[in-house]
Amino acid sequence: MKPIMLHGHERSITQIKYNREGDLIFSAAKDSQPNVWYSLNGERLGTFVGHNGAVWCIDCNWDTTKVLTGAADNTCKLWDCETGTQISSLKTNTAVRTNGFSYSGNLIMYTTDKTMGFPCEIYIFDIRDGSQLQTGNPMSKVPIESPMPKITSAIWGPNEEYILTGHDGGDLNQFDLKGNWIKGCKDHSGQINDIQVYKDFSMFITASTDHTARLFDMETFEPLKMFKTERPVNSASISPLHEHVVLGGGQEASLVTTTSTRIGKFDARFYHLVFEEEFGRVKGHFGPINSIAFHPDGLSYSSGGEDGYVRVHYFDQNYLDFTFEY
Amino acid sequence: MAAGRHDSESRKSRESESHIDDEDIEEEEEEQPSFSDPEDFFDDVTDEDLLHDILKKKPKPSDSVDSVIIVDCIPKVGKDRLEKLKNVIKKIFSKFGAVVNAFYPLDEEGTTKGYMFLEFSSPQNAHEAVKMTNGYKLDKTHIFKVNHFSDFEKYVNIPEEWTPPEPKEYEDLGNLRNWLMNKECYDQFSVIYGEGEKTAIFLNTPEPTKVEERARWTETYVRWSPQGTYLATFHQKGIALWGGPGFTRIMKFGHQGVQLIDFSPCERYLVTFSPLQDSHDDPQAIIIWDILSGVKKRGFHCESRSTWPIFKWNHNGDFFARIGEDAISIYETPTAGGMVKTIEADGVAKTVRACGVVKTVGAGDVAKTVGAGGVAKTVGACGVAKTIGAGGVVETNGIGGVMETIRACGVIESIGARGVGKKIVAGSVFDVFGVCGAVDISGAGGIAKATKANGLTKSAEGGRLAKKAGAGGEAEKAGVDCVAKTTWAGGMAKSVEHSATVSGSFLLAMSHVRFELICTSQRPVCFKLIFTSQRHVHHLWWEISLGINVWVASKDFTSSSFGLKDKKSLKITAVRDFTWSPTDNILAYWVPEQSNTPARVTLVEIPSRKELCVRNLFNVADCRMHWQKSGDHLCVKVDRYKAKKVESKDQVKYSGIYYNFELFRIREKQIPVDKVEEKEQVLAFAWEPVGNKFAYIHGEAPRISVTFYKIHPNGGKVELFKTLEKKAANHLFWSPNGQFIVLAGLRSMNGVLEFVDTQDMTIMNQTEHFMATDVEWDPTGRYVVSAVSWWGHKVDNGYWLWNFQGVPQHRQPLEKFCQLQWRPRPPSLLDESKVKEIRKNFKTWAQRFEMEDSTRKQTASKDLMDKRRMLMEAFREYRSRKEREFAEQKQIRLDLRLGVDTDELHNQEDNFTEETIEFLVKVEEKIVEE
Repeated sequence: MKPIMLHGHERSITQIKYNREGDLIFSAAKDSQPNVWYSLNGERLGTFVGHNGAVWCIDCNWDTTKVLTGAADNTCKLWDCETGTQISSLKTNTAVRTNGFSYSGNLIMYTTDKTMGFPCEIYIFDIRDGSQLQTGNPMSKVPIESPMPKITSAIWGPNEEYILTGHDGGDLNQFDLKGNWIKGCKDHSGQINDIQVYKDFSMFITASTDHTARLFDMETFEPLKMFKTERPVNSASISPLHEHVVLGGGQEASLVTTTSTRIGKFDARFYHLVFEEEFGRVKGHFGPINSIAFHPDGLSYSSGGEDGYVRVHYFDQNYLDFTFEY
Repeated sequence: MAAGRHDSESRKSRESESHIDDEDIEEEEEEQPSFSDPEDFFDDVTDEDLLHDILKKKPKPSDSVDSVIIVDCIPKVGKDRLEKLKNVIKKIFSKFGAVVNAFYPLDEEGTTKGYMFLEFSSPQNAHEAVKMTNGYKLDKTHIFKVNHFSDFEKYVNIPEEWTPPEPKEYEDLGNLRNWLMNKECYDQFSVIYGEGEKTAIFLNTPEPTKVEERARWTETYVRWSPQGTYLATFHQKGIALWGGPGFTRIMKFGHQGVQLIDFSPCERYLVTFSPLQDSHDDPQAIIIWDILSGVKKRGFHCESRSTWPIFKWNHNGDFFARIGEDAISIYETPTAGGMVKTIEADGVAKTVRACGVVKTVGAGDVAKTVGAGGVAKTVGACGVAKTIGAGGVVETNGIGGVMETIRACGVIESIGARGVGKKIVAGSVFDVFGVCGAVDISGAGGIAKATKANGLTKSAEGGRLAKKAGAGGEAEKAGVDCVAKTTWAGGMAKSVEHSATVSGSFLLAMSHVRFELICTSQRPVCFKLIFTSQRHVHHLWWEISLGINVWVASKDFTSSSFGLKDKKSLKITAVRDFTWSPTDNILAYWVPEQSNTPARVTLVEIPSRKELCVRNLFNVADCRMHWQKSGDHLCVKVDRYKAKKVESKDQVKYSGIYYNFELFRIREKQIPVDKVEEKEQVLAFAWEPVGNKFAYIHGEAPRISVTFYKIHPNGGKVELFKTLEKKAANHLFWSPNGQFIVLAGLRSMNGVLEFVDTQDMTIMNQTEHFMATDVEWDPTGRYVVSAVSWWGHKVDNGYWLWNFQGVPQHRQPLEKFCQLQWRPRPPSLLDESKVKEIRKNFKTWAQRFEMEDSTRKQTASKDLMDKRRMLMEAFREYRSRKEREFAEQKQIRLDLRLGVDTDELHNQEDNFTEETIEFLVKVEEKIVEE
């Protein structure tokens, strides 16, 4: 089926997310206005106006009442989802790279970049406590000190017990809410661009510039599967419906101008979760895919690319019928 | 510091001496602190640590000695004429540098002793002086003998007795051709990847299997020898050769900064080139090595700027040639023409292969070992060395000894029976054998007997002989080469389905005498006996096939090892380029136009230097010679011009270039020549390696065509076969067996590949390997590899494997992949009749292969299914465990989300409120007629 093209951003997409029900898609881009769309028909519901720089990350809570955005203008903003009004703006020293709501939606976390002499840090706030938001004094703050490389992606663990971080050098680490380091591992050899959890939080998939995506067990960090490509992987998502994963990536944006789209390999690539075998590709973007996500019902998926488009794909019947022989 | 301490110590001792004298005074004075070391003190600081900078400046005897030369044979003169002599000497030697010191030893009467010493300011000057003035003729009676003073001792101390060099211990490297032993005839290929960090050897099974992988095996790239026996790796210090079952290092060749190498086609010699390290009197730029012994055979300078390989080998490695100013220099290797060479130095026969079957030995080694007093050594192509016989055997027993020796191995019977070796002296030689440990005569004899009993051909069948020989452990020691080769042949026989081909060779060498036995099933059995006395080599040769042909030759040969053939180059004024025929000793060269004479292409037979054919050509800008692989045809691509403008001495501008192909039919009388004209620019040319077609690419982009011509086997008519128009191709790759060709548009043409069957000119597949930089056929013509090398393109590196029809077999992306090379195969042992027979029974073969293929496919897919099932089971188990855990934590989740169950996407239907949204789909206006 022809994909729905969401054309509302002027610059490259940095992150897209479905809400829990999957009726809305949130998109952040390097322009300063995150958007929210109806996933069914691609109509734009609205924008969040207020940032003054590239928005690197976006998330919404489980009942779709609040939205969290982090940007290069050194702020992390909390929005009311329904009205699009800003509830709070948290000032940081450097750009906000990644953020997220906890399972209950009561806690938020975000991480900042290591630039201009400031270290990379994890912040955790309790948004029920108004004073924390007003004063900007977090519930806990974790500086990431060398030799640990900076955080490039982070998510909440199950039942908001801990935070899982992916780092520049390919490390994975786990911190509790007080900021204590619990454990870590290093299976990737390149920056971890994205981490996405399986619907029941038992597994997660990482996407790395080392041309692979890996599936890990949440509890033990044991690497379960590996999906290989020939290009940096920017994002990966696990289907909630089938044993499938989808990978998005492509040649680094800085090198794209010198190569044709064919050589960049900007396809979304589908792999079998268990067999690690590729079974399908979807073309379309004319730049690398920066973020990719399955709809929570697993019947469609969306990808956001360096080309500034979000493409919403509903699967054909033959995808749903397709099975591996074994 | 050490010196300082010595001083203080000596002062101390002096003080203590005085202390004894003035004992009373001392006592009244204050007690002095003691500076001497405690008794158990051990000085562990060496002078080297303390004064290394000063010690460095310590004069060495060689510093000055190297600048001193001895001039002998100067006139003996009295006091009165000494000054004059000094002046003469000074005049001669001062031009090489400042003479620091001159010493004329005089006897009691003041007469010079006929020699003198000269010291120069530097060793370089002394060196130059020795080189230039040694042999200087002052007058009739005085010819200078000039030597380095430092050499003096060396020359004086030469022992009277020559001690033989120690024979190298034989090292079993295994069967160097064991890679040919796999039943399915899979080929191997080498792959360099990871920016050159890693080198791996793969076997081309349906899913390529890794045979060997090593990190930093080579510093630049690797090369296979022409028959695939060796893998050469490049290092800063030289070349290393690897081979055998485990890719063990077989030999290394030290050549600092080596950049390029070339093997002789027979794999006996290696040519290496390094731009460093060349000196005027010791050529080091190009070195020719003997592969089996690792000995440097000859060095050459590299003045010419011609392209590599500078030395071109003829088809069997007997000759190698290079182009020089107005000449082609042809050199010969000791194997040339089945001749026997002697080394005058030790007066021993240095051998030698005859009749092109046996691959012997670093001949030099043999000679030395033989000369060494009777330890004979055989070294075979398989690198097997073997000691048989011992000193004195020959002197005492002469030929008979040899006969006996051979008889001991059980081979001689045939010769004995023919009455050649009548003087058989038993006993002693047997003992000698015993001493050498080759006692298991019966083992060796077993081979011979089997050979004799079953007839040569039969004995080879199914590798039975090999097994036998291999089984008799000791036999290996006696008849090594035979065993090794037979094993190999047996392997080959297997792989070509009992082709009953065996080549075995047996080689014996003894002091002053050599015996060589060469036997192959397809060829007559040859026995060759060579014995030498000083400079004469008597060369005897028996050929025994079914009947007896005896051919005896006796000749005198003189030494010429790696020297110029016939001691002079082939003088050809202004010669531009030459090539060897790939199958015959024919050399083709071309000469451009000179004033009045037209350009010409000449074919010369070597070594007779007889001109076989001369072709004059007019208006020639350039020529390119292309030999067909089977040596039947030569094509000379001639670039011709309509107008020429001489701009300066070296700059000539041609205009209106058009092209001719001059086609020489070598196999026919007088070598007739045909001509094909082409107006468009020719981009590539290639002969069908086996067959009679050739193809070339012509035209200007984007209108590029590929044209095929065919030469009729009878009558030699050349006719246009087919032109394929509008192709994206810049390279032609014929299958090594002909018929199939890949037209490739590499690099700038994006990697377009087209597989063509030239039998009926069908295009089997048109495809693309994006940005491919290389295409390589496997040695059997079954598979083709297209590759994107990191050297040519930085992304998407890897190689794709196709079959000859262009059906993709395997795609292998590989990080920073650099180079893929197929391991070449030695020439097939099947003769033409066998090949014909196989062709005839092709259907039965095909049936069998298809069956094998389908069973393999079935097992492969079954394996895959099994693997998947296993993975799935493991995963299911993991999931069920996780799901249980998930269910257990339900209460925690409910608490966190205010009691709302969000575990399933649609299980809170009551939470939804239905809303009806109306979309305006279309507005239509219709005029309703009234």
